[in-house]
Parts: sequence; C-alpha cells; structure tokens
Amino acid sequence: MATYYGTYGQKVQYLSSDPPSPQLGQVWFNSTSNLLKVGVTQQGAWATGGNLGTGRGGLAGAGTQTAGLAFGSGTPGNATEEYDGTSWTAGGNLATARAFLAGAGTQTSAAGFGGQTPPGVFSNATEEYNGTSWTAGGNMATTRRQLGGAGTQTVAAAFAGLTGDPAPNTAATEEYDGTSWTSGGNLAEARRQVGGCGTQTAALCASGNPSNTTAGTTSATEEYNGTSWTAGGNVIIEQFGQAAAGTQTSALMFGGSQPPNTVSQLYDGTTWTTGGAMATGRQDLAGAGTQTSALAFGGGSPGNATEEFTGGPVVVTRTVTGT
Amino acid sequence: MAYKYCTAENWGKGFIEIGESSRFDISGLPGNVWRIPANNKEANLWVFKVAGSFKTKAEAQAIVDAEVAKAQAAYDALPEEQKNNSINGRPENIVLE
Repeated sequence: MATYYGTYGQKVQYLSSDPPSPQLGQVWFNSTSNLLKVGVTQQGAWATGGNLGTGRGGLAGAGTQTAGLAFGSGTPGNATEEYDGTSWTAGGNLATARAFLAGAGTQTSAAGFGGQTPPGVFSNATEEYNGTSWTAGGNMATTRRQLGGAGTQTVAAAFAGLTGDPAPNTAATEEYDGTSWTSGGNLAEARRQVGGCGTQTAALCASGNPSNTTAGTTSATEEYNGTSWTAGGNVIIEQFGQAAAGTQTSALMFGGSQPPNTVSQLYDGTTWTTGGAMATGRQDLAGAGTQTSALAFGGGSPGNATEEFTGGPVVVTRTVTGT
Repeated sequence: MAYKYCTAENWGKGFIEIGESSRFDISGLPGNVWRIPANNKEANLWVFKVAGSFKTKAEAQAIVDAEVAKAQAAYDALPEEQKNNSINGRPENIVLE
C-alpha cells in the first residue's frame, strides 16, 4: 500500500491544534480531534461589519462596501441607513414604505423601485435618493415585488419579480433613464427573488424562485446586453432570496434560501465557484459593492447583521473526509 | 466534524475578522449562539475575544429552540391573511450538529 511518506517524501505532522496560518497543501493530523486536516484555497472571506440600526429582511441596497445604502422594509418600512465602512447612520426616509423592492446606484445617488407596500399592495413606484432625501421618479409599467435591479440612478434596469399575489412571476425587463421606464428584452425564465447586479447594458440575473406560488429554485443564470438576455453558466447552489454584487463578469452572490444559508458564489462571466461562507445564514438580505469588496446586510432574524467580503484566495483549514 | 457552541452578542465591526473567518468556520444561530469547530485553538481564542460563554450542545440547543419557538409563536399569531402573504412561512426547527 502506498504511504504518504513514500509518495511525498515526508511524514504527516502530528499537531495538538490546527496551525493558525496553514500553508496551501499542508497536511497534518490533529491529535486532539483525531482528524486529518489540509490547507486548501478558498475564494475570499467574510468579516462582521457594523449592525444596522433597524433589523429587517426584504430591504434593498446600493453603493459600495465603505459607502453603502440600505432602505425599505422593517417597521415602519421606510427607513434608510448609510454605511461608512464601520457603522450605519440614519438617512432620509422613503416617501412610500415598502418591502421587497430593488435598488441601484450609489449612496448619494440611488434609485429604489417596485416592492410591496403594507399591507400587501404591490408597487411600481420609483424613488431617487440624493444622499439626504428621496424624491419621486417615474413609475414602472409592471407592478412587482422581489425583483432584480442593476445599474445607476439614471441608467438602471429592473427585471424579474412577482406581479401579484396570487399572480405569476414576470420575465419582463424595464430600463430607466432617470425619468421614465421603457421595456427591454424578456428573461427566458420568469422568476422572483433573484440575484441581480451589473449595469443596464450588462446585467446579471442569477438563480431565484421560478414558482408562482411556492418555494422553488432554478440554477439558471442570464446575462443582459441592453437588448436581450442570453444564458450564462448555471449556479452551483440554487437559491432564492439571495443578494448579489459586482458586475456581469465579476459577480458575487450570497445568502438565500432554502433554508436560510451562508453560501457565497462567485461568477466570472462563464462559471460559478463557491467562496467563503458568511457567519450568519439568512435570506431576503441586501448587497452592495463588488465581487472583491462586497457588503451583505439585513435578512433573517433579527435582521441587523452586516458582513463584509474581501475577495482573493485565502488558505483555510479543511478536514479530510471519505475513503 | 466536531463542534463547540458559545453565546456572544454580535457587536458588529470587529466581532468576526477576516483573519478569523478564514482560519475556522464560525456559524451564527438564533439566540446569539455561535458554532465553532471543537479542539481549535484559534476558535477558542475568538470566543475569549468576544467574551463568549461556552455552552454544551444541549444548552445551545435549548437556547436555539426557545428562539425558534418564539418566532413560530409570532407566526402562528398572525391572521390567516398575513400567513398566506408570508414570504418565508413558519420558521423551521433547527437541530444542532
């Protein structure tokens, strides 16, 4: 029988605890837990950020990891908070309290659109944030909640979502120019609770719930070029109620259900890979930032947790299992 | 994989740092319960840093059960119309590994 020593010319280390900074490919036997361990590469890791003042799920997000914006949902459902990389402070309130809306833009130039106003009326309204207060924008043609959003305040895209209760998911895309919405190309697969990010002319719609009435998931990724959607690589772990950040060719998708989980997945424009896991499993959270510097906030219960993702390869400890 | 449990309040920034989450798995559960790998020096140091209180699996399970029961009771108390409109449905029980 082949031995580790015979193959690699060295013996497996016996350590009473895992090394604090394992090397890639380092193998050791933890003599306390009686487990064989190895150092492997993982894409990115999460750290906690400052907690939201208002815990909530079904909110929307915009901005970056160090200049993030959270708005909507919770009680009374119109609260806005601004993140500076350390803590959240209150911003101006949305005129229309609502949950399960979508967001686009930056902390000082954001758009919020769609959603559901209490007690369950679906919305097509758009509001625009200038860093201080919200003002009314143009209405979407399709009223919907749990939609995807991408782009900026004046060049945004809205896609997917649930159009009523009970009513079907929509495949419709709409494009915003800062004043009014016009129709764009339809998704191949109608769905809601998708992971949406990118720009109006290079948007990404990943996974989500294609069922009109119950919990369901799809692995489908679709890419928008400003005119039509085409199929991208399938996600590894199907989700709904997840958040996404980044661009069409460099995206990060995180959290989701079912059940609420900590999964993160990275997309390079072709293929998805798994990344470091969040500490707090949750769905109906919001996201901001880029693939290598993302922000996750809200979702789950109590719904105030914030986590910051830093991309790049890190060596982590994994237990060797199997035969 | 063997796990240990502790309770600690997530104060936000700095509670879990990149250098910690990349060295061992930290998983949050209802009731400020955190699951970490057993027999892991770095994980034990993190618990010390966050002033965590170690719990046996049974104690941690009881805390999680109480939080889930609270959330389930809140859901059960909703009017039928709101239950039907609920996005996520009734919170599910969580069994610790």
